[in-house]
Amino acid sequence: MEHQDAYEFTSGNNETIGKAAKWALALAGASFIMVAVHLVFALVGTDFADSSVELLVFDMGAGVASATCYLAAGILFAIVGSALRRVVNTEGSDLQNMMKALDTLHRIFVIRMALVFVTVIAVVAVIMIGEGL
Amino acid sequence: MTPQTPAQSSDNAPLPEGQYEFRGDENISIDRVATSSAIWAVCAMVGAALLGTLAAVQFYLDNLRGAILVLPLFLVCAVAGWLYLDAGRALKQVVTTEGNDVDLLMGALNRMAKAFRNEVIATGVAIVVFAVLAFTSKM
Repeated sequence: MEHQDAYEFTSGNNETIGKAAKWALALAGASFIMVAVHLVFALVGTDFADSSVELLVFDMGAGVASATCYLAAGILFAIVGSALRRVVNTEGSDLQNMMKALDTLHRIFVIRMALVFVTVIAVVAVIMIGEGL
Repeated sequence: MTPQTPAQSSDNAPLPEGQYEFRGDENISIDRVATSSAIWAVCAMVGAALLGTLAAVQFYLDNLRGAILVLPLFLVCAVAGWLYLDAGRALKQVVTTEGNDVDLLMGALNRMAKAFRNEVIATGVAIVVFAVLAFTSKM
């Protein structure tokens, strides 16, 4: 493990890693804004006065589910960004931080794929309900 | 930041400066990201294909406004798919090749950064479009 922890990326490498960190953190910020947008749209788009409980759950559910996924993605992108930033700013544990960033990236992709899967299921369910099946 | 320390390859032979050979457990992590990045790229490309078809249908139905609205989404998905696929390929090469791991990893990170930037811009545009649509539908 000794040689692994001692490895330091070069300044050219650090520039690339810093750029990835910057955009990962920016994407985290954008994801947090999308959380607010989805929650606002879920609240504004729901008719509270004249709706059954099922319709309320249906109307609010999609917005809250999307907001939750964006929140998870935002938190994970923030973790990726800070791990990559630590690679640039610190010495002695570059590879450890890089591996943490890559593991978190894998989790982000898994969450996104799950989101696509859930969305497809939801669309199919809505079509089937609409068709009265 | 600082000059890198000499690294060793998997067979313990010293590598040139600036080179590092990832080991078993590190390769497993990198391989996982490569696979998930490639799968996500396929999802984005399928989305792009669907959006492209939708844009073509709108154009065929003489709904130019609809086609113009869908076209940017198609481009965002297609570009994201291409970048994530490229990043996945580079990460896979880190695992399967020897002697150039750091350069390949940097190539992959560069493409990831471009993909992230693409998504940030797309999200910003989406928020503006949401706001405009919400404002105009209220008026």
